[in-house]
Amino acid sequence: MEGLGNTESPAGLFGRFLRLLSLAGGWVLVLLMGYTVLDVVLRYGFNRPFSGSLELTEFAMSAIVFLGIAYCGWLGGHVAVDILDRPLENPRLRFIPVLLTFISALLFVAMAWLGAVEAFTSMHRFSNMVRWPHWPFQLTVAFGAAMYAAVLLVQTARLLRKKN
Amino acid sequence: MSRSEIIGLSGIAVLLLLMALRMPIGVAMLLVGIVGFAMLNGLNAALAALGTYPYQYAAVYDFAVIPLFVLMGNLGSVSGMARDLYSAAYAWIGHVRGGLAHATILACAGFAAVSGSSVASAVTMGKVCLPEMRRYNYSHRLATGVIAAGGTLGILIPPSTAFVIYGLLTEQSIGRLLLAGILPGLLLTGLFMITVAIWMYFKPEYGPPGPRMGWAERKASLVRAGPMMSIVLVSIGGIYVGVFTPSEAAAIGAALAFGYAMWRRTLDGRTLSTVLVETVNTTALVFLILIGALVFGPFLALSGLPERIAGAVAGLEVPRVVILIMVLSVYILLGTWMEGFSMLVLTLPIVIPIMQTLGYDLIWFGVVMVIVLEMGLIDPPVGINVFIVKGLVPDVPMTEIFKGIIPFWFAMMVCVAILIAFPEIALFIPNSMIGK
Repeated sequence: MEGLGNTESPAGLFGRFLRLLSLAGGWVLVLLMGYTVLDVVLRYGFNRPFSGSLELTEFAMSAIVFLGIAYCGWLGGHVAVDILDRPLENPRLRFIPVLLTFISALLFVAMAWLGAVEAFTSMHRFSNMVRWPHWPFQLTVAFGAAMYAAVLLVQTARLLRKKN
Repeated sequence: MSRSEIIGLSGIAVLLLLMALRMPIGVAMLLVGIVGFAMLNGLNAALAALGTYPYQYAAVYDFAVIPLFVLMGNLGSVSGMARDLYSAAYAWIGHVRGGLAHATILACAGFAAVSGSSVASAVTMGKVCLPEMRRYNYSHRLATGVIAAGGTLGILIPPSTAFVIYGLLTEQSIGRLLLAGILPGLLLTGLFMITVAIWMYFKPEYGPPGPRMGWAERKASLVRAGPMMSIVLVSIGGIYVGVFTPSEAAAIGAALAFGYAMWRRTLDGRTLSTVLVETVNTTALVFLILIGALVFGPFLALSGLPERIAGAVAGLEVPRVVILIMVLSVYILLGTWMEGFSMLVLTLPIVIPIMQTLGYDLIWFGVVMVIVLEMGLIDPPVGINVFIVKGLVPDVPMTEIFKGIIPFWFAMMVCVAILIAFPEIALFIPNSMIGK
């Protein structure tokens, strides 16, 4: 396929699960595309726009981003600068990537935990127009962060094995 | 210097260190931003931010324009639009000296109108155009240079993810920014074609002419490229006349590209899965940086450092254009080792207050900045488009590709100089936009 990278056939069960999450995010995006178009058609064709299109878009966006964040990390897709790649291959300096990847994992564990707590403490919060609760989407964000934390922990283990 | 300013400055230093040590840029900004918040506002405030900001910053209506435009570009890639565009440009101009190089630039500009990513443009157009140029014995230098440079038009001609991100971080109208890229994009396309023409004047053997097509073939090629042009007209035209918001325009463009790919029968289940996963991946990598920037930026603002720097720079007794050139020179230097998007989000909290203090129009500055980012995409040692071209033609040495890029890099410099001298080129269309 012209222009597309290789995101097919990840190795291992965990990789396939993460790809499935990412694909689910893709289908949410297709739904977002569909109802945005429908909203425009209803607005101009029948003068009857959706009242909650803005809120649905916001909910959809949180799911699209955080369902894909772990698989992107799994593929090594998150942007990093590689000017010190070669020096960091030095056996004496190999503890640095291990440490930094572990710290990153801790950050996302904290994000997932705090996000989940926030979701459970704000279960009474609903959006203004469609009256949908925020917590399922907040939990999706927390779940996505937890999955990325898991990816980072796996990468830490791999780096440790490489070091040894 | 106050305590908070010292914390801000230390934050920048630690961030640069973490980035140099290969921590993903989004994660590094998030980490430094949260720790910085903890130091300035207390641990509880920082933990509350970590629990709420990711959801708050992902669930934003205006951000939907990013995945939708990425989807439109990816669907454009698989639908065969790139080949149709190239065939049309080739039919009209392929018979002149360097005609295939001219056709490649025109096709890149056309494809840039459905794709918001320079990397996607370079990969797609490279796969279509490079084999043709090699078949007609074009010099490796010209063929690779023209693809790497032509691909950069992807983030200047709307839709452009760079403009969307710039708009979101600087609170400028995304619609106006997208429209501001049109004329500079056409100007740069023209400058690239002039570059090829000058090259052909001195080295005609580098680009032999192709066969001349008849009028019937030329018209047929335009008809084949028609659907792609219609998608661009509807989505970008809709923003101009004020009928759609940028997110709606992106959704409509993606839906039309989806319909076109279905009609061309290029979209089976497996391809659609790949397109969707690829789109979500791109979205995720952009948003991790964006969320990081949206935490790091306010931390820096809270430290008071950007204000201090802006004040100091504005106080320099030199004409404002000198400061502008200094800032752009720093960007060009940074672009030689840093990825463009990361450079954008990392520097905006400091640079935007400077530009505001100097009285520059931020829409215009966004356009100039995107061209400078484009230069970073092709200059050594980490020009990403160069690596993409290298991946497509592994037998061509890197030095040959970089030599091919040099003339186009200077064309970009000329484009920046023209825009500094005549800012109206960027501002004319957004200023005439309906319902701005």
